Order: sequence, then C-alpha cells, then structure tokens
Amino acid sequence: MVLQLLKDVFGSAQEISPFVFALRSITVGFLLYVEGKVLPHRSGGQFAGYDFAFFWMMGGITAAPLFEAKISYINTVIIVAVIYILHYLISYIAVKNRNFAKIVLGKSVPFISEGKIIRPNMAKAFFPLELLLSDMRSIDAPNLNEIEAAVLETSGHVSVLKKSDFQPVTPKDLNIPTMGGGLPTLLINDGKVVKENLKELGYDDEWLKDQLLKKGMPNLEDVYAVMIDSSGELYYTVKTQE
Amino acid sequence: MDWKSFWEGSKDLSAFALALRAVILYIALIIATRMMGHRQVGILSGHNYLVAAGIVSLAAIRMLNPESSLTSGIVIVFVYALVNVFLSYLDIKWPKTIDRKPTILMKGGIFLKENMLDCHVTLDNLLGQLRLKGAHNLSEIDSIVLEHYGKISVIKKPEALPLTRKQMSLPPKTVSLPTILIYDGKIDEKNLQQKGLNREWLMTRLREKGISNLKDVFLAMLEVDGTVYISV
Repeated sequence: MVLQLLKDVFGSAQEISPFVFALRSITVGFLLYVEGKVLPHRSGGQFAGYDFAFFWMMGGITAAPLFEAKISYINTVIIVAVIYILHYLISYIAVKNRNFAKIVLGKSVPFISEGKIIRPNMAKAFFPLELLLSDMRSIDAPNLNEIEAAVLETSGHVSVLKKSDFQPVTPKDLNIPTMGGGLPTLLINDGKVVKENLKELGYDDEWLKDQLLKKGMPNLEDVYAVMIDSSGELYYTVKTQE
Repeated sequence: MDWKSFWEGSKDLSAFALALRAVILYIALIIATRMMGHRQVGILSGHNYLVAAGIVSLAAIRMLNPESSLTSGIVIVFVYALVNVFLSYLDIKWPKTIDRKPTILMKGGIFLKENMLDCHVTLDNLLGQLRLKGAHNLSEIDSIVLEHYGKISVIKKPEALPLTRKQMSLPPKTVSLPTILIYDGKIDEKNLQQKGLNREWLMTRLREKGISNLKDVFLAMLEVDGTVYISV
C-alpha cells in the first residue's frame, strides 16, 4: 500500500488520484527549493541565448511530473541534473575560451554608429525600427538625434551611448572635488553587529558603540540597521514599533 | 544500446539513454535560440513570449517522456523556431500586422483614460511601475508609453531631467564606445591596429601602471579621451 503510493509519487503511473498529484506537487516544491539554491546567477539575468533556454526549460522540466501521471519524478531529477551540468560546462568553457563564447553566446550587434542607423544589422537581427525605438524609450533615450552609438546586446536589449551634448553634467566637468562613492557597508543588520564587515574596515565593537553614542543612540538593541559609506559617513535607523 | 528505441522512444530506456537524449535536445534548443536571434532572448514581443513558453516546455516534455520520439522532438524544435523567425521577419516587413502597437498612457502630462482602459492598466499598477522607474512626481512627467512587451517607459519633462553638458555650455567632446585592447592576458591585435596603436605603446602604458607582465592583465580598454582602463 505505502510502497504503491511511493511508486505512484516518484515513479511513472498510468493514472493517479488528485491526492497523489498533491503529494507530487509537494515533492516538486522541494525540488524547486533545491534548484533555487544552486541556480547559476547568470541564468536568471539571461545574459545570452543559452541562459534563456536553460532558465525557461528548468521551469518546464521541474513541473513536468505534474503534467501527466506517466512522467516519473526520478527521471525529472536525472534530467534536471544533466541540464544543470551542461549549463555549467558551457559557462565554464565560455569564460575560458573567447572564441567558443562567440559561437555559443553570439556577439553584440552595433545598431547605431556615429549617429547613423546601420540598417543591414537591424534586418539581420530581425529588429524593426519600432522595436528599437521602444527599447530606447525604456532606457531613457527616446530621441534618435541624441544617440551616438547603440548596440544590441546578447541579452536581446539595446544599450546606448549619448552624444556629449546630451550627457548629464558630472562633477568632473565642473571640476568639483568629490568624496565617498562606492558601495556602502552594512555594519548592523536587524540589531545584530555584522562582525566580518566591521573587522574588514579595521574597526571594533567599541568604536561602533562610541560612534552611535555620539549620534545619541546609547542602546545597540534599538538600532535596526547601520551603514557606512566609503567617506566614513554613518547612517543609522532605529526600530519602530509599527 | 538499441538505437531505434533511443531515437523513437520505448517504455524501458536506461537512465543513461534518457540523459543522452536530454543533452541532444538541450543542444538543439541552444542552436534554435541562436537561430531565433537576440530579440528572442530579450523577449521583445508577444510571439517571442509564447514561443519561449511553448518551445521550451515542449522540449522538456520530450526529454522526460521515454516513450516519445526524439527525432520528432528535434524536428518540432527547429520547425517551431523557423516559424518564430518567420514571424520576426514579417515583423520587420510589416511591423503593425504582427505586433501590437505601443500605447500612449500619458501625453503632455495628462492621462489618456481610454487608452488605460484599453490596456487594462489600473492607476495603482501604473503608479507602482512609475515608482520603480524613479518617477515619483507625476508633474515631472511628460509622456508614458506602455511598450508592446509590457514594460512602461517614462519620458520626463525637460526641466526635470539632469542638466546636460549643452545646457551648461560645456564644449562638445567626442564620444564613442570604448575598445577592448587586452582580454584575459591576450592582446586584441585587430582592435589595436584599428586604433593605429602598436604593442610598444600598450606596453609603455602598462609599465606606467607598474605592470610588467602582459599575462597579469585581465582587461584593458581604451576610452575615447585616450584614458586606458586597466584591471589586473
């Protein structure tokens, strides 16, 4: 009885009841969890065509045991593993070998160069002008006359470089000295001191307490988060009741 | 292994045969994606969406069902990809017939109510999307366009945009995309020649940065103002 049930859930069956399908859904949920943990970062970003194939297929394969009673869970796990290994191998070789990468991932295609649209490239990539304009609007570059260069990336979206007249003014243009910048570091997360980050910057708990005291925060427990930017400026926020 | 049952499918295929079938189908799918071009990966229009969901789940089922025929699976993948390429081709010939038009939701700072109704976009949906775009104040927005692939673009009024160099009367400077000179320890000779530079010049730049060994350089790019970005 139990054996038959396990066989229905994990193996291939002719016909199964809604209850067994429910059990299958839970096991598929578990598989989803494991996949989510090990999924390569690049696949979700869909940098190139094979990421696209991988990402969409993983979803399809994982849910497959729920499509039909015949499809077995064990086969699903095998195939998920095979596809994962293949994606891993392709990424690995592509990082090592640029020529291989060009073949598998394709190359980015210039669409606009020196302010002129390159029509043959657009046709080769099956890109109507409408689509180019929409993609440019979505990256805040709606005017063709402002564009010096545009490139269709392997991820299928267009990137642009604006002409100098239409680039925002930066502090460098006006010779204004700047401080800070870069990524800020989290020092307290949900009331707990992040020891590694503190150590990396060469500070200790005492220093942090001292700094917070200066800002008028005597109790570490009341602090929700503290961040420090590269110029040494501290930002903190307290826990609120609601 | 029995090749006929491998290609045509049978009830009792070994796990190894199943894995091999998956490898073949996955490679077929990658080739098909390359055929369909970059626009498929970016999912830029309706038929791209449907093909993405269809072709992939189709291959997935073929992989998992040992009784299905591998040959017809591969045939379907390629023919389906070709249909998609054909639709994309029609799209460049007669843009409006294949794809929906982008819809304008706001023009000159005023919402177009009928268009919003047509697209089934609620005000809350729209405000959420605008916040994600960093456009919190509606008074700063000139137009909003709902692109056919479902993304929203915002065009702000000129006074709400960052200052440009022209507005500050700064002299124009030449801009162009940076060029890769060294990629993972190897000099890109073609790019170097195109820019009228030679190895000697590049090695001098490296020495200026205190790098003596070419192999140590991960990436070097020439920017348009002559700056060489180098990362070891």
